[in-house]
Amino acid sequence: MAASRDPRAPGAKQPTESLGRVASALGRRLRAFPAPLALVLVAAAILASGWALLLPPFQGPDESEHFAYVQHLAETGDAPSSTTFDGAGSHSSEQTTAMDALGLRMLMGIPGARPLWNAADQQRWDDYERSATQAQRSDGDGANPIAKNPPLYYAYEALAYKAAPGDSLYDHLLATRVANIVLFLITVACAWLAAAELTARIWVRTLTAAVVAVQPQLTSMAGIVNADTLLVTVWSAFTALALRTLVRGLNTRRVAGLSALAAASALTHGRGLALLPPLAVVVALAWWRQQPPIARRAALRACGAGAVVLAVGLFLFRLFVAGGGSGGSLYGDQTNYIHQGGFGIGQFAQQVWQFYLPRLPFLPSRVGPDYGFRQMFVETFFGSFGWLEVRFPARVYTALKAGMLLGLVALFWAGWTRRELLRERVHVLLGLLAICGSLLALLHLVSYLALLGSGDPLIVGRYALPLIVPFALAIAFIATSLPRRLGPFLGAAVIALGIVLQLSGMLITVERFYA
Amino acid sequence: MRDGLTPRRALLTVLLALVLLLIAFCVELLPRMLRQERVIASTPVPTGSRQQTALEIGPDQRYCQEGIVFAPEGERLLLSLTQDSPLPTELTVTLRAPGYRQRVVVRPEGHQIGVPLDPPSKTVTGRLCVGNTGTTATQLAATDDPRVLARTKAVPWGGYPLAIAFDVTFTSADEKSMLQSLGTTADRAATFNALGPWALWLLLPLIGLGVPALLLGGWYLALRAPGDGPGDRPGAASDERSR
Repeated sequence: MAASRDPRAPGAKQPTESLGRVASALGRRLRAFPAPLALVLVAAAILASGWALLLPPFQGPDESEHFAYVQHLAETGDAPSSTTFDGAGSHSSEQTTAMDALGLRMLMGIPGARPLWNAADQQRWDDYERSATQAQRSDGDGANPIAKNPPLYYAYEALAYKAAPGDSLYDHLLATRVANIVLFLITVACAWLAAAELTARIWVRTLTAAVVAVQPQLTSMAGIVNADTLLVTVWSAFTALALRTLVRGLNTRRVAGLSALAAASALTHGRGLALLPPLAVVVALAWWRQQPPIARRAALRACGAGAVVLAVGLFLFRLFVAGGGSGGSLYGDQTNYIHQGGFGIGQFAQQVWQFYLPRLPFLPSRVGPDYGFRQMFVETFFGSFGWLEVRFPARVYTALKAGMLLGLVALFWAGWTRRELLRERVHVLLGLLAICGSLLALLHLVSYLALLGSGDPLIVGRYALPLIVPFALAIAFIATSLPRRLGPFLGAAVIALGIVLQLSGMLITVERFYA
Repeated sequence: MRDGLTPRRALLTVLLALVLLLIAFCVELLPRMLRQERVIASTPVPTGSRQQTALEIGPDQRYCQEGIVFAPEGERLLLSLTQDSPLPTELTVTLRAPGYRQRVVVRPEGHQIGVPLDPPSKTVTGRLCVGNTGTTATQLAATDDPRVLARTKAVPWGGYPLAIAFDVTFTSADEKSMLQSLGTTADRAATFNALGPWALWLLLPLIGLGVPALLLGGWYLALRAPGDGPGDRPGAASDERSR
């Protein structure tokens, strides 16, 4: 005993020393962690926590269905069905009771409604919660429309659900919302890493990360349960790794990593399939530009590793499809749009034209409602909270639209003035364009096909959030292209604008739900 | 390695952000926080539902809705008439719950009818009735949204429940700003999360002051920081050369 307590004793010295080494290595790593990134991450965590605590339960887009999926998976180990009505329906008995007893169902999308915070209703709910059983939490067998989604996000959230400190619905909801915040913080870090591949300047990396951290729509989505957040994280990680591969070259680990992320994207949501074309483009571009040229064997090894990772991902997906909640078909009925009749390439092209630009005199009227750039890339990209009914005043969107258009002009100007740099790094530019183009092409195609069968354009700004890192990089590119010393001022203004939008968004949300 | 901005220039950019924040706070946030409005106490049948309809109420007709919660902060009842309906000469509103009863006669002067109430001292659940005691038929704004009907339905006097409910909102008697009712707002928000009010009170200064301080502090440090060596970033090296 005495010997073991003696620090000089040989038997005790080794563990103590190794512990010291670990602590010192950890200290070194912590000291090496960039302070600006740490501060941005803390700010992002506070903002996302604010949204998680301020939004009443199930008041984010489709949160009630996403949570029902998580709850069913966590309680039973199985995904709910997207096609078969069974048990208590799409939500468990516990969730249904909460939505009705607390006025949360009639709150969805009705600005004049408030949740039932009064003592009588709360007492009734508390009484119910005290006696709620496991059976009442696990009977949301379906049909849940969200169950057509692949299981990756829900499996992750189910772990958080299980780890919740209490058994109440509020405990489970908070735990799953907090797990979503973790994904958001990874997204912010990925923005930093992406910028770090392109520039050595710390302020440019900070600006890129900060733009992601203060984007109000993304932050509000981080505070609720929704698979879109994982999709954003996966796409952001893919963008960072793609830039690393394009800048530093191909190797087995990078291609395997890119393939794993593409597989994760497909395992998260139907929209995630759009990451497969950029995977091929990025690998091809990196191969093309590798200096010195990569050895044929090394390239084949890298691509082989990628193919194996993708195949495993697709196999896992196939397993889920066979036994999961999607009714045995690819993403449930989501991809049935492919079979929509009436598709015409000319009509699709003019539909996309009229989405962004005014109708030309010789063009026929577009299919569906008057829904375009402003609605998608301004109103629902920067901030339509709750079930899209909590919105900034119209003048804010008008100002944001002007800012976006000005930003686009500035981006083209910056590209022109720095064309030598872009020519030198054309493969990086093409890689980023492939990532953006693939998602936007898929969104427009699905929207067009959906409009042929119904009046819903099925496209909102949050679907473009997986492109948040390229968006932030574009702002950083403009800032670094400005005449000397002006860039930091633009960066400061952008961060200030983001903070204002955040605070304003939270205020109108509080006003809508509680005032 | 490339040096960061001088302290003075870095501070200037942070100051610019602070000025912008201050302007936006005064123009956008403060007016919203100081705007005086009646505070909503509860919305048993909310207005503005997606499935708006009308409930015709003729002279001597009366409709009631069960399961309405009457709370101490509900000092004023808000009823609505549809925009194109004639104004009734007189409506009689009755609120009845165990230990609480009130009857108010109103002569509407507009399509939004505010009925002043003497609220109960504690929250009770009961029945709200609206009777047309005038001579003109009118239409109450109503909804047939099933989400609302799950809680309450209009019942004609002596009849059976209809698949419709007329809009009912309770508000405070006086107008208050958001800043004045901050405590109430925090308590209400805390009702729907697992952590309770303390978390919100902690978050409030962190969001309002901490987030700007963290982001602008990070921005200052970033501007002061030297680049981390372009040599290890092929892309970064060319970026630096292009400047």
